[in-house]
Amino acid sequence: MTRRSPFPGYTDPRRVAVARVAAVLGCLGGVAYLLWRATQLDEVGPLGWVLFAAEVLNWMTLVSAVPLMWTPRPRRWAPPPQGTLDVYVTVCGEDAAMVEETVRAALAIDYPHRTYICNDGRIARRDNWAEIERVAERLGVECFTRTDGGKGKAGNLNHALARTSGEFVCVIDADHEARPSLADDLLGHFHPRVALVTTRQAFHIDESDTLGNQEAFFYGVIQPAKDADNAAFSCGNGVVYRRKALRSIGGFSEWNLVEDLRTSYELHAAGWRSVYVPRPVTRGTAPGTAAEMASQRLRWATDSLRLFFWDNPLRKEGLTWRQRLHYAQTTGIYYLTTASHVVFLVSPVVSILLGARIMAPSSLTAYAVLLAVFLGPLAVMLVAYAGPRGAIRLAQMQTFLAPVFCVAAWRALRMRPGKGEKAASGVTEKSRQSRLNGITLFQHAVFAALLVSIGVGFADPDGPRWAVLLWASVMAAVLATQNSMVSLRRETAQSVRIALTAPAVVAGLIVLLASWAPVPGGAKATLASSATRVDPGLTPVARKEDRKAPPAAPATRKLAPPRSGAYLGAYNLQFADPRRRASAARRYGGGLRIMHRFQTWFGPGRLLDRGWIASVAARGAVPMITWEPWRKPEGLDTDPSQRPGLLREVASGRYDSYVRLWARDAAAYRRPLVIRFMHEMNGTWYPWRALGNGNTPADYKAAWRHVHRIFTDVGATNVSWVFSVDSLAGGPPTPRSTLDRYWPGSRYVDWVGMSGFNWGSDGAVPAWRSFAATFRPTYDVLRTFGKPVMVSEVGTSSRGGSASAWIRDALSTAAAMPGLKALVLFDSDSQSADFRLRSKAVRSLREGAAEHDLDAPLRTTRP
Amino acid sequence: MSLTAPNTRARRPATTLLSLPVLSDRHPLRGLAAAVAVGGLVFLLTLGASPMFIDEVFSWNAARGSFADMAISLHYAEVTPPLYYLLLHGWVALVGDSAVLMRLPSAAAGAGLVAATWWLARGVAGRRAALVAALLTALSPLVLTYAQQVRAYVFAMLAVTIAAAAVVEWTRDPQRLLWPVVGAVAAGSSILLHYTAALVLLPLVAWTVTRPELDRRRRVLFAAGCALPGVALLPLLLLQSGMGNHDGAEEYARITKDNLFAVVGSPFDGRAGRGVAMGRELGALVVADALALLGLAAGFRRVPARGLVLGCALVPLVVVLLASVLMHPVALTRYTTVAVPFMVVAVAVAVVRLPRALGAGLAALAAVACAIGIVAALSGSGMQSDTRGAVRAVAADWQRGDGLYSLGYIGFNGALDYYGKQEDVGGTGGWGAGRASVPGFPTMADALASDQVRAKLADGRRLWFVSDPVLPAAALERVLGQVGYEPLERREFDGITRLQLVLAGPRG
Repeated sequence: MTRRSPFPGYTDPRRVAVARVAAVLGCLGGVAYLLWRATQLDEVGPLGWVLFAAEVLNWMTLVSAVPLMWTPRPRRWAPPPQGTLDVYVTVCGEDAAMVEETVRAALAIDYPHRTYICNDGRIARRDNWAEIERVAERLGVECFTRTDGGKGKAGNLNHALARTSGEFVCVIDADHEARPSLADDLLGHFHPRVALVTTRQAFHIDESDTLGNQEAFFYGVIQPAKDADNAAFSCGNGVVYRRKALRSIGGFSEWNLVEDLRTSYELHAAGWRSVYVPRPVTRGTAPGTAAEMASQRLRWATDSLRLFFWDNPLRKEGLTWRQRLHYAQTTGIYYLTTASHVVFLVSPVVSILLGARIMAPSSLTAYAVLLAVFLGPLAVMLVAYAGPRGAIRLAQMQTFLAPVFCVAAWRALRMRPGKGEKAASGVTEKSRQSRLNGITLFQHAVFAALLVSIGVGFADPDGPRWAVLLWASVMAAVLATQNSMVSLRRETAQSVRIALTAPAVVAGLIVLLASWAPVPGGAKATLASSATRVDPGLTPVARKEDRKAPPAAPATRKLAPPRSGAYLGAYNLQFADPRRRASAARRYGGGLRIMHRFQTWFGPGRLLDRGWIASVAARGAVPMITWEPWRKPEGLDTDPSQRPGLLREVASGRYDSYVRLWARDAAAYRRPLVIRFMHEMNGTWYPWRALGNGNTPADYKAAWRHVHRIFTDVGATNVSWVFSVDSLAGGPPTPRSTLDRYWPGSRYVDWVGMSGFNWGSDGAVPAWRSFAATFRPTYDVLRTFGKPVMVSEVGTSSRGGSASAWIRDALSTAAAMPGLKALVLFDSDSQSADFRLRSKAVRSLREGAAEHDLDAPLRTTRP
Repeated sequence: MSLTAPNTRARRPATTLLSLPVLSDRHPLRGLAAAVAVGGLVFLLTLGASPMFIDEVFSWNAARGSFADMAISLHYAEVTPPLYYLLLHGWVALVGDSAVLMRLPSAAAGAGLVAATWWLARGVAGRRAALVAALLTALSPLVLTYAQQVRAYVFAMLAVTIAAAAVVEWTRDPQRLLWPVVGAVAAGSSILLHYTAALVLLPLVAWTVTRPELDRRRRVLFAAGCALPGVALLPLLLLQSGMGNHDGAEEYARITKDNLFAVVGSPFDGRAGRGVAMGRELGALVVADALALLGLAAGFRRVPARGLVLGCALVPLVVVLLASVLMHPVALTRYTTVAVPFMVVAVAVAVVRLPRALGAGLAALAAVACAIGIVAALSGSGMQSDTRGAVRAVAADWQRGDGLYSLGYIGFNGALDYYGKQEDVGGTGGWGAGRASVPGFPTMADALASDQVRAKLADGRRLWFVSDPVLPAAALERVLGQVGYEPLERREFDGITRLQLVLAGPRG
């Protein structure tokens, strides 16, 4: 090693440059992601808001941290050492053999020095304090065994400080062996105002460092960046202090029980400087089990947060503003932000097991792309700074420790100095490390819950929600690594880790692969559920048609309103019968532009009948489908209590697999297709009504937008959406102010529609009512939306009057409504009344349509 | 207890997993015999329970006629090599073509596979792993499926397992000529039984030729012995592929959640219908764990032939998934069957090498997955479509002049033909016309519009329809009513898919 080279492992300037670019991109990507997320918040529940808040908090922390770690300081070799040195080996019940090794290593430091054992075993009521004294005697080292004073390492050090006189004081923990070059590496950095020189920590652990003890990111970037702002703090071990500086603040700080951070804090506030040397000068033991690490980090976090809550760095006098920000990050913001990761851990569990609406999954792709622009650069930044393994370990450690930091925050809040509970004293166990403890039970429980959620999510009868499943898989894989560390035996721990991680990783891969074909039960199930296989009389050749590709079109087109007049459309049961479809269409003359049918989400025939829409297009008409999210009860037209809370379920993505499959088929069709979705929401007879059955107007909007987004995501822009209300039998129409509560928004609606019937003398609403009386009030309301208006269902009974005359009157009235751009007849029998047109009425229809320009030619447009 | 005494429990963590006397490693052959007996019992006891499956009828068709017929079947209907059909041809000529007798060789091969897996696992990880592997094979829902099927898959599994076990023996005794010869013969046979064997032979040959302890000349000869049959079969494979014989499977072999779980947990995928698939998910978890441990865990690095087991288990899986993503959908366990013995061995190795609690947990999960798969396979919804039941119902009431037609999914027509012949419905070898086939139509409307049915209608004959899916009563009455007929009798038969039998006659 030459003196010209930087310290080994020091951050490469090129990596710093890459990391800076990535950090900026990550911040900007975060803005894009969060803005997109904000537009979806009306579709999520309270937990979704909490999740969003956690995301915002993490982004804000990132944004505030990036400037602080912008310029890691490149420390190089120091001038030759000078001054007298005392080396303190702090002991508190550690194994005597271990202490002996540590003291021997301390004695072997090249630079002239005096070594002391600071034996706190007696005051901490450890059994072996006398044995430590014998070790000291055997090695010829002076041993300070306290008999009084407060618990904690700071008291122990202050006790020794009062009994020694070296110009500099080096603190070494009992389980760390010093390098012989320790003093040569550190003492030269003591310029007159330097109070402490702290170093990188190194441990006797295997290369994989499963628990992340090496903390590559902290020691590789954070500390050097703090060093640049004179805010590097002592890590307690392998650190050298200037005695004079310590005296100036009254010795090691006993305010907290973990003395290092607070002592550094006071030194900086007193105007002293610190130096961080990114080279380990000792090597020691580290927690070998997750439980032990959690205990250690709980102590550190509690102590740090106590400082943050009760002696806040932002208000600390004597610190520069950058030092304040650094200390605020270190003592509070880091822990609180990490604690918020609990939300990321439990959200998929709550979503899958309890059905909470935490996200509006337009599609897995949308989330993946937007998350990638946020998290992708962050991953690059972390890898650039800490290497791939260091980055992964950081993510794993933060996820695992999030619940621990929640506990720490709670404890710290209750530990107001001088008024209540004090922090518990403790040292990291070196020999008998616990495998499980209370503060890791939560992580194990969450891991189990994640695995259960994955299983439940895959078995969802409505098809898996891929985004949440992938999320659960990733969380399980991340958590599995730390959770597996329940044994000190390396091979055992590794086997447990692999056994826990593999299912989560495989589940994630299956999610990614299977999300390409999100069909519940697979392709075979799709065929089995198709209507085309159920009713032989209705759809005899549909299976063959299924295999045909839809007719090729040069480009995707969408229905546009006619320049003048209106389109004539019809619903006729015979449209569904390929043998009778042509003759049924001919019944209305050559002017039929829209062929209408109904389709339910549940039960047989729920998929888009590609054969039918293709045959409609072949007849020069546009297919219109009234798409109903229910299972039509046998022999009934209403079922207002079916699936309570349906709209919330739709909005939460419960039926996304089905909707996406349908949407893809619609997109593949490419020609104009009209969907009349969740119609007559202002009535009381359907389960998707906007008021009642567990639904709210907001749910209706959210469900509509959610489904619309899926269509947009898969490219089904050829679909025109009809927001269709009921005219309420000509009574007072639903006012605009009420409709506004249901209205999904202009972006989500292409046409507004209304339905109404002349029920005749013995229908559901017996009265002979004219077209104008039925529709005019509602038409006036709908026109205010600024969209083309469609009469999406209109029929007349022939009982109680002349259907033929009614039709003639209807057509002339419709022609006088300039905003009316389509009129779709309901020419069929229903449960409530018979609306089939007799031949005379049909003749009136054909003649009237031609006369009143209701056979306008189809006009399409690019979406 | 002395503090200095060696802690033997810690060093042998799995010793208590298998403590029954018959399963102890003192008498390894007793364990083998027990496993084979369990397998044989499971395979044989329910050998005739499930009706013939469409693919089995293909095998029957290919094997029962002349060699020319077989060649035509291979050319136009199959994507498989000829060896199995040649063997089946001889077997059918010898013992007849009842379903149980035709399946008997598969059951025997299944029992042989139990023993072969035991042999392979013993060479890889010792007798305890061998016993676990043999038991898992005996109870594997997938092995049960193919050990009760008139198809070549179980034979291909047996052949590749023998080939791999022989190679492992060869590495333990490099001087002995017997093992490379046995290995090459088994490997060559495997590819003559099913093309998918190549997915195992590739890693097997790659692993073998890179063993420095083996004689180089013998390695080369072994590789050549494995490759030659494959090369010889290439023209046939290209011919069959060119005919599009596989295309029918594409609809249900796509990448879906269920298919992915099934192929990853291949040993645990049986013929169970949908709704009882949790065994597959558990099985996928077990296999994923076992393969990950074998491939990544430091404690498994000393397992002999680790690379061989991993390669033979993973290559078929990866190829099937990649092919499904990049080329044609083939995400079905029929294409990963050859990897099953190796997956089972990996699970067995994991069970005995893991710490006790983990090993027991993995074994328990595997046992649960097996139990779910077997129970589901032997329950009503785990049986193939009950064409046998439908034909027997028809036979009981068949009248001269009646017509039988299938509707909807026409895959079971061959089985109707087979059972028609077995039951001799209408005399002279089934349906009254020797080898006449049951006509199939997509829908009843299509059937009623066809010339042959219209002729029956004109004569007022009764019509039998076997339909998948089940037709709603109202629709039936409406459609039949349009031609002056009405349903006289309706029955349903449970199975993987539900069949409906409808007898229709003139109204009144």
